[in-house]
Amino acid sequence: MPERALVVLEDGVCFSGEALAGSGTVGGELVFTTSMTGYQEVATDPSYAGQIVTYTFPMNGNYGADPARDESGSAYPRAVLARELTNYRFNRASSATWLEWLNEHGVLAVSEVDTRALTRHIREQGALRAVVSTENNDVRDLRRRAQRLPLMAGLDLARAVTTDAAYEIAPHGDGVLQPTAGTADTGLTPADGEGSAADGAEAADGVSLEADAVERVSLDAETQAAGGTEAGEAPPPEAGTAPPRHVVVYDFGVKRSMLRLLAAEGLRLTVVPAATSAREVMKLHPDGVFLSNGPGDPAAVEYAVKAVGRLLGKVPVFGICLGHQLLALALGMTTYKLKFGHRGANHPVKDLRDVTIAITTQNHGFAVRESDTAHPAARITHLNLNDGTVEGLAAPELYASSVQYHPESTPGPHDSLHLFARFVAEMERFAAERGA
Amino acid sequence: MPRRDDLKKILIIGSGPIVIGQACEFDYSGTQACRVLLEDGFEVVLVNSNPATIMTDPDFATRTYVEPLDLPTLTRIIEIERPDALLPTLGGQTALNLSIELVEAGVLDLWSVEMIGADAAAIRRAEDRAEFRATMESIGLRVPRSALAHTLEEAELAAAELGLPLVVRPAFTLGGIGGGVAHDLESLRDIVAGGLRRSPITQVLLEESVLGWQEFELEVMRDTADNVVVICSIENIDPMGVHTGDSVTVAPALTLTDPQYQELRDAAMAVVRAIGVDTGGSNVQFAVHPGTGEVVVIEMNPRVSRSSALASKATGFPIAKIAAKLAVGYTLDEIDNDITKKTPACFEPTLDYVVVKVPRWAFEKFPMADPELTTHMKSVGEAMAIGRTFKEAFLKALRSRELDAAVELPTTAQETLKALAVPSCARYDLLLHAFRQGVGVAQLADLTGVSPFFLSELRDITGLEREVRDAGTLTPERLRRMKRYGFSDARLGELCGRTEREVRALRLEWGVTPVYKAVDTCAAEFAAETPYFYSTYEQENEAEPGERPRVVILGSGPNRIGQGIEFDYCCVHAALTARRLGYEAVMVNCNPETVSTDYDVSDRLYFEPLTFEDVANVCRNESPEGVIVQFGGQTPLKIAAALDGAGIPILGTPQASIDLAEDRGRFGALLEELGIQCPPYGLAGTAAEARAVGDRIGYPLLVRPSYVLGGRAMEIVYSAAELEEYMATAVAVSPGRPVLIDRFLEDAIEVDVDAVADGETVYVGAVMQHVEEAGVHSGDSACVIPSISLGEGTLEKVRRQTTQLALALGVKGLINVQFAYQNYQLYVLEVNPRASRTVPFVSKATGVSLAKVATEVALGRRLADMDLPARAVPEHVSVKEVVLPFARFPGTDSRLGPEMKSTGEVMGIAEAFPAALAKAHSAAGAPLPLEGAVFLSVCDSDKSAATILGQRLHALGFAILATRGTARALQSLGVPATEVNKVQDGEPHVVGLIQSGAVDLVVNTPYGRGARSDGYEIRTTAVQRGVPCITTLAGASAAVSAIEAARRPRVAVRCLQDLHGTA
Repeated sequence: MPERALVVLEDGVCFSGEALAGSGTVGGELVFTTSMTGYQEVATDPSYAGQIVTYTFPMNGNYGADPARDESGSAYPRAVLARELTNYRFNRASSATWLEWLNEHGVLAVSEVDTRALTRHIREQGALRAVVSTENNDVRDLRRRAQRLPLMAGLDLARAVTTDAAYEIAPHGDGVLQPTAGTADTGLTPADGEGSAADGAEAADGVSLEADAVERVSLDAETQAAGGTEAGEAPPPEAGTAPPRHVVVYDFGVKRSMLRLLAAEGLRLTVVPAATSAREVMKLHPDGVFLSNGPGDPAAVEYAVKAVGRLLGKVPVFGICLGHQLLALALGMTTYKLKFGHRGANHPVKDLRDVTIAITTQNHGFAVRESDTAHPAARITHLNLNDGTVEGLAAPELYASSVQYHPESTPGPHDSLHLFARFVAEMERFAAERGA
Repeated sequence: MPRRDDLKKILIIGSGPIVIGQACEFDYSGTQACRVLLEDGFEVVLVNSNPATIMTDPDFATRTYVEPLDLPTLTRIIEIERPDALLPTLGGQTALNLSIELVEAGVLDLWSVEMIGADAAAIRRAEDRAEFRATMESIGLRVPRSALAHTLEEAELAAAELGLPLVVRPAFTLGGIGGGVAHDLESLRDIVAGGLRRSPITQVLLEESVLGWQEFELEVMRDTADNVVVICSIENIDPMGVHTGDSVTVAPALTLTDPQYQELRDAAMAVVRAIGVDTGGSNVQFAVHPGTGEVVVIEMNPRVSRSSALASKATGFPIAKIAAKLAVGYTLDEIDNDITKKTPACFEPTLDYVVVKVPRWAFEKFPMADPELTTHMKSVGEAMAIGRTFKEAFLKALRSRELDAAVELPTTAQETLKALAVPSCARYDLLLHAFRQGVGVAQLADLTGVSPFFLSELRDITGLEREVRDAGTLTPERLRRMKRYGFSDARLGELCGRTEREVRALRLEWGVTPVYKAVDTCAAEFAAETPYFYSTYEQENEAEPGERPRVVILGSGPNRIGQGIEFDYCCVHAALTARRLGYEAVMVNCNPETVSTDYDVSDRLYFEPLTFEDVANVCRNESPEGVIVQFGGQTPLKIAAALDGAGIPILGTPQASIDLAEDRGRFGALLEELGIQCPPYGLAGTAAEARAVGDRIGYPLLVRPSYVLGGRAMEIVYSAAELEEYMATAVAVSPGRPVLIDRFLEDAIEVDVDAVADGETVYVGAVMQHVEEAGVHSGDSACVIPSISLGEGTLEKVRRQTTQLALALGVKGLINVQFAYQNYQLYVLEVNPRASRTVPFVSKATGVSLAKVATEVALGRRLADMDLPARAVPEHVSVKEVVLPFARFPGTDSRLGPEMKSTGEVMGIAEAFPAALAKAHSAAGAPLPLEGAVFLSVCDSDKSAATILGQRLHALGFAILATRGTARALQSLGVPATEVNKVQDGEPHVVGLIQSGAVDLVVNTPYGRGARSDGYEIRTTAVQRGVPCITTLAGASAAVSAIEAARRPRVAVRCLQDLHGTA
C-alpha cells in the first residue's frame, strides 16, 4: 500500500492523498497549473522553485517521461499533487514512466488528492503556504510549520537557481543545441536528478523554512558543465557568412526552450549568472540582452533591476516573465503579487498594437503595474483578456520589450514563437539606427 | 469587430430528419444559434423538415418553415422571405450541401443573400477530396496517398497503382455513407459502385489505408480577426478504420506529450486558415502513426458537427452559440465565456476531468446487417460520461449505454480473441472479458490496434474487479476505493454476491456518497456561474441545492431506434415550463447530442447515467419536490418503480398507473369494466402456453415481450410453426417476463391519440390516422392529422375512450392510446401513460404544446385553469413520414412490420392530404418519381386492391412491370403490364432490372416472416439502388395520390407562425 500523505495549508485546510514517489515532509507556496499537457516541462521549470505544484488535469503521467522534455537539469517543485498519478511508458517519445522520473528526481508526488477542491480553495484564498508530509499526521503541527515558511513576496529565488558561471551556446538554424567545444554532451542533457527540490526541502525538522534552503535545491554545476564552453571564448566563425549576433542571456532560472529558440534564430548566446553586472555584460559586446524567466519576487532582485537599468538604451533588451518584471521595474514601473497567479497554457493575451490575440502559456505569481514613475518611452503592449493584467511592455526608443507570458511555450501553444524573431529584428533595427 | 448591423434577417437551414450520422446534435447546435441570434435582435428564418426538433418550435425563430429541405422549397422560401444572409454551417452535411446547391443555382446571387460563416469556396475546399488534398499539400501537411475515381474502371486502375487495402470515401456524403475499406478487388468493386451512387457528384476517393493509426480530432474556432482557438481535443480509442461516430472516444486526448499535441494544434489551425472558414467551428481529424509519429490529415468539416456537440458538452464551451455570434461579426474577445461570465470566449478550455463517449448501436433491429464496424457509421446514438479519471468516466459511460440485453461473452479466451479480431459493437465488453480470461495487454494491442495505454486502463479495471471478488466482501475503505474508480453498486453487488439494494444500503450506512463537481471550462481557475455537474467520489461537493423548490426531469439517454429526439423535445419543454412556473429545473441525462443537455435549458444539469443509482444520488443531493419520469421514454420509466420504492416522489402520473397500464391482466379487466374492446389476447410463459393461446384466439397473432419500447422483438405470426420459432428467440429478449399475444387485426386502420389528463379532465391533442394499416409499428407508419377517412362518430368514440382510459388510469400528464378500426369496430391496442413519439408532431400540427401542458399538470395545475384552445380540426393537413436506415445496412430487408426500425421523421404540411404526403416523401429524402416505370409485386391477398393501384398508375402514364401473377391480374382488368421474370426464372429478371436503373418505384408487399422470402432481394436491391420501395398497399395507394398531387403546380410553403396565427 502506498504511504498516506497529508497536505496541510497555512489556514488549516487539509487534504489527503497517497504518496507514490518520494516521502518525508516538504513545504512551499501551494500553486496550481491548468495546463493539460507538459507535466514534466512544468516540473523542470526553475520558476516553480520553492513551490508545491498542483496539476489540475487529474490524470498525471499518462504518456511517461523523457529527458528531451526537461526544461532544466533538475526538478524544482518541492512536491507535486494530482488526482491520479499514472505510471505508463507507451508513448514513442518516452523512455521512462512519470513515477520513475519523479522517483529518480526525488520529487514527493502525491496522488488521490481532491485537486479541484484544493484549486477552488486557492482561487478563493490566494496562493497559500502549505506543507506536505508522509510522516507526520498531526495537522496542527503541520499547519504551524506551513505558517513558519517564508512568504514568497520579498524572496529573491533567482540567485538560488541561476548558473554559477557563464557559458556559451553556439548558434544553430535547426534549433538543436550543440556544444561549441569540448564535450559531446548537449546543453540540454538532463541532470541525474540529484539536488532536486524535494531533497533540498528535507531540512532537519522536515520542512525547509529558510529561503536559502532553496539554494541547496538548485542545480547548476551540471547545467553549466554540460552547457558548453567558458564565457568569452568565441565560436569558430562559419565560412562565408556574417558573424552571428551575440546575445547575453541573464539566467534567472532560464528554461532550455528559450535558449533553444534563441539559438535557432542563429544567435550566439552567452548565458550569465543573475548577479552579473551591466559592465561585465557590456564587456561581452552583446548585440542584445535577454532576460529570462525565473522564480520569486522580482522586487527582491534589486541587483538585476539595477543592471537592466544600466543596459537600457545601450543594447536591445528582451525579457520574458521574471525578465519582463525586472525590465518593468527598471523602467520605473512597480510589481505586485497576484492573488493566486497565472499558471496554465490557455490564457488569452491581446497585443494592443496589432489587435491580435494569442493563447499563451503562463507561469507567474507577480505582475507589473503601470505607474506614474514609469519611463516616458515605456508603454503597455499586451493585456491579459481574462483579468486585464499587464502582459507585455515596450520602450521602442530604448529597444526594450518584454512579455509576461511564455512565448517559448513548453508546455503550451506555439502562438507567440515569432517573438524570438522579433527580438532579432529589434537587434537589426538597433544596428541600423545606432550603427552598431 | 462588433455586430454587423447591415444584417437584419438570417436564414438557417436545419439538418432534416434524424438519420444515422446526423442526429439531434444539429437540433442542439441549431437551437443555440437561433436563440442567440434572436436575443441579439436578428430575425431568424428557419427551415427544417423535422418536427421533433426544439428548433422548429415557433418560439425559437421569427419564421419557422417545416418544409422539405430541397432546392425548390428553399428557393421559394428565399423568394418570400428575402433574408440578408444564409448561415449554412449549423445544419450538418444536409445544410452544407443544400447551401452549395443554392449557390450553384444562382439563387443566393439573385436575391442578394450573403453566405456567412463559410463561403462556397471554403466549403468546396473542405469537401471536395481533390481540392482538399491540394490545399493540405499547400501548407505542408500530408493526406493519405489517394486517387479520385468517377467510374469503376478508374477505381481499378487506381488500385493497381496504390495497392490494397484502400479506403473508399464518396464525396459529399454524410457520416461516410457508401464508404468502406476494400481488402481485395471484389470488395473494391462493391464499395466503389455503392459509393459512386451515393455521392451527389459521382466521385469517390480511394485512399492509402491508415488502418491502425491513432485517430485524433481537434475542434477549432476562428473569428473574422483571424483569431483561432482550439476548443477541445478528442482521442479515438478505436484506431483508424472505425468511423469516429462508431468509436469510443475520450476528451481531452490522453496519450500525447505536449510537443505531440502542439504539433496537431498547429496543424489544425493551419488547416482552418487554409480552407478559409471565415468564422465558426470546424473539426479537423488526424491520423498519427503510433510508431513513427507521422501525421496525416484525414478530413476537415467546415461546420459544427457531432464532434463539436460532444466537445461543447465535454468542455462547457458552446461552440454553435459562439459560431453564430462570430458569423454576425463579433470577434472571440467580444463574446463572454458563458460559464464564468467574467472572462472572454477567446481562450481554450482546460479540463479537470475526463470525458468518455460510447456509441449505441441497434444491430438487434437489423439481424441481417453486417455488424463489423468500418469507416461507414452504423451507430444510432451515443452516451457521454464524465469522471475524474479515465476508469471512472469509462465505467460510467458503459453503464450509460442502457443495453437491452447483456452482451453475450464467449467462454474461452480463444473465442474471445476471435471475436475481437474485427471491431464490433461489443468490442469493449469483449476486451474487458479477455482481460478477465487472462489475456495480456500486448496481445490485445496487436490484435485490435488499441493503444496499450487504454488497454492497461481496462486491464486495471478487471484487476479491481478481481480484488472485490477475491475479498468476497466490502469494507468501507474498499467500497470507497471502488466507487472512486467508477464501479456501480450493481456491479459491485455482482462481484461480491450481493444485490444492488444491499450495496446501496451499505454505502449509505458507511457514508460513501458522491460529490458533484462542476464543468466550468477552466479547471476551477475562475468561479463558474453555470451549474453543470457530474458525480465523483471526493472531498468537496460543489452542487449546493438552490433555494427554490426543485423538480428533477429525467432525460431519455442515448438515442436508439424507438427512443430519440422526440423524447428530448419533451424533456426540454418540461424544463422550460418548470422554470416558467418558478421551480428550479434539474435535468439528468447522458446524451451529449441533445438540447436537454445544454446547460442553458435547465437551472442545473447533471450529466449522469440514467440508472437508479445515479438518479437516486442526484435526488439525494437535490431533495427535489419530485421526479418527472413521463417525458424521457422508457428509460426513466424503467427506474421509476425503484425510485418510488426509495421514497422519491414521482410527479404526474403515479407509479401505480404505469404498472396498471403495463399489467396485461389487470389492464384487461379495466377495459372490460369500461366496456372498451381490445383484440383477444393471452399471456404465455412457455412455448406450450403460447400454442394454447394461439389456438384459442386464432391466427394471425401479434407477439411481443412485455416492457419494451419501439416494438423490440414484436412480430406478426401467421401459423403455429412461426409462433414456435418466435418463442425460441423471444424468451431471450426479456427473461422472466411473459410474452404478450394478441390477435392481429388484418387490414385495420390504425389510429394514435396523444392527450393530457389531470385526473379531472382530459385534453385530446390530436387523433392521428396511420397511413399504413395496423401491423406496421406506429413509429414506422406515416400518419396524418386530421384523420382522412374516419367519420366524426368514430373519432368521437376514439376521443371518448381515450378520456375514459386516462381518467380510469389516474393519468396526470401525457397519455398515448393506439386504436385499430376494423369492420366498424374500434379496438384499443395499447395505452402508454407517458409522452409518445408523436407529441412534437401533434404540437406542430395543432399549435398546442402538449409537453408544456403536461408539465404544468404534473406540477399540479388543472387543465380547466389553462387557456387551451377548444379542439378544432386544423385547416391544413399535416403528414408525418418516417426515415428508415436500410441503406446503411446492406442486406437488411426493408419491409415494415411491428418492430420499429425508423431513425427519424419528417413533416409535410399542405392544404390537402396528397400534397402533404408528397412533401413528406420529398422531405424524407425519398421523393416519388413523377414518371417512369413502376414494379408491382403483391401477395395474393393484395392482388385485387393492387389492380386499382395499377389502373391509377397507368392513368398517370407510368409503365407497369409485374411478376407473372400480378401482371395477369392487371391484364385481366385491361391494365397493360409487362411481365418480368422472378429471380429464379433467370435473366433478365426483376432484380437485374432494378439494378440497371430501369425501375423508378417498387411496390412489394411481403407475406410472412423469413428474410429470404420472395421479395427480400427485390427490396434490398431497391434500397441499395436508392429506388423508393413501398411495402404496404395502403402506403402505395397514398403514394400514388401524392404523385398525382406533386404533378400539379407547386404547393405553397407556409411558416408555423402563420399557420397557427402566432406571428
